[in-house]
Amino acid sequence: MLKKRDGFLILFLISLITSFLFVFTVNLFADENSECFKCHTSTKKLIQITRIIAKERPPTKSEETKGEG
Amino acid sequence: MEPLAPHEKILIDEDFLEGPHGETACVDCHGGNNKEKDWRKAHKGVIRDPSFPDASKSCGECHEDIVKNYKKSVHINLHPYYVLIYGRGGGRPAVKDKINLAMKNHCSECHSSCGQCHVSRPDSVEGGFLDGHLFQKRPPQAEVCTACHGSRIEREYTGKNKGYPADVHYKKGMSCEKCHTGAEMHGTNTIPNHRYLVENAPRCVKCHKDAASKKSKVLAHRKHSGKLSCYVCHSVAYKNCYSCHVGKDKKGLPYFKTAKSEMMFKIGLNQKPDKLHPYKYVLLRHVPVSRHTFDFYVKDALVDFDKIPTWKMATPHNIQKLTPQNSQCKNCHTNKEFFLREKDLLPEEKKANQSVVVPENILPITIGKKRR
Repeated sequence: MLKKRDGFLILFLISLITSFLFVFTVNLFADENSECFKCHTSTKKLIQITRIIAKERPPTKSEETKGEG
Repeated sequence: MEPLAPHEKILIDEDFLEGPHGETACVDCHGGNNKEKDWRKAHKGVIRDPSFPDASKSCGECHEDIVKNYKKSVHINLHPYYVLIYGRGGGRPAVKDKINLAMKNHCSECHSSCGQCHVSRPDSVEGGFLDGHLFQKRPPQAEVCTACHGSRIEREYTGKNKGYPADVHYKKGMSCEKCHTGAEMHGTNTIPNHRYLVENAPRCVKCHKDAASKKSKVLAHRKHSGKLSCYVCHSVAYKNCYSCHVGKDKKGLPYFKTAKSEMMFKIGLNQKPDKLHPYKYVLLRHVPVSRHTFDFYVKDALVDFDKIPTWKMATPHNIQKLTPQNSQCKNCHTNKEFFLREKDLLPEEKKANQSVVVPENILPITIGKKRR
């Protein structure tokens, strides 16, 4: 038969493990709610932003390049 | 290789979070601000490739063993490239500074990094995630290896040069990493002065154990063991490039121009035999360097141009069992055209190639006439 004290000890251990797992799970996906992840997983947002960037940025490749690299 | 749309280059697969790398916050590797909603402000201080030029604080945090020799990898430091360019003209400090500037503007973009093999296409081909930022244990050949090594290696290996067959290893389904392992790519304790001195570089004999042995079942292997590189008999014609010139256009954008490439096959002397390449004869490929490559930046920069051959030892990736030169002894031993001779050299490159050109009096044309 379990004594009352043992029962409390088991309950304490279960709650300790559960809270540890909860914290671990939350940290596992560290950036799920970050703005980086929200934007970089949205095709629509990225299309809008890359169009803006394309308009603003000057070309980086010269048209004079000729031949094989 | 299909080009990627701008948004595709940076679109992250939601599965990324479920992998081991999803345990790390974006900002831990890339910097920036992950709480900022304005994308311009959020990207302030962002590091596009956290693994270049130093991977120790990003990939190295977990993959310490792999990253420890990272900076010694020729894919990262391009050291052999600099050795050859400085060897041709880096002796004078004022000139060296200008060569360095030219190299920075035109050449040093062609490097790799952990990220530019395992996460995205290399920067030199305008980047873009390989698969939604999911890390690839084995870099995909078409998007990584041959994205850079395209005009020579890819075309030779896959048989894209009209009239020339694909490499037998390609036909058997072998990808680059079957021979070029991670151990070779990730660097070792030493920084080699030449790419053929890279430790763990591929060796034909690793698989074809008896091929180079004097006990080989093949007569030609026994006869030529140690004297000819495998490629001399088992390659076909390959691409040779000429006259690379670099400069900046009217808008200040860097450009390069090369002359027309030529498919050729030339056997020459091994300029610097070493333990791994003891052969007397090797294949030679013309490299695009010219006496005037850096004229835009500094005239006559390559004052020691004549000290280093422009025909370099080559290992064309178009291996065949039977080739025009090996199917019968007489094919090679009666045909002078297989060999790099004085007449094949450009007038301005004669001096530079004296150590690799095959003199008429030692040409191994031994069938049909007595050898001198």
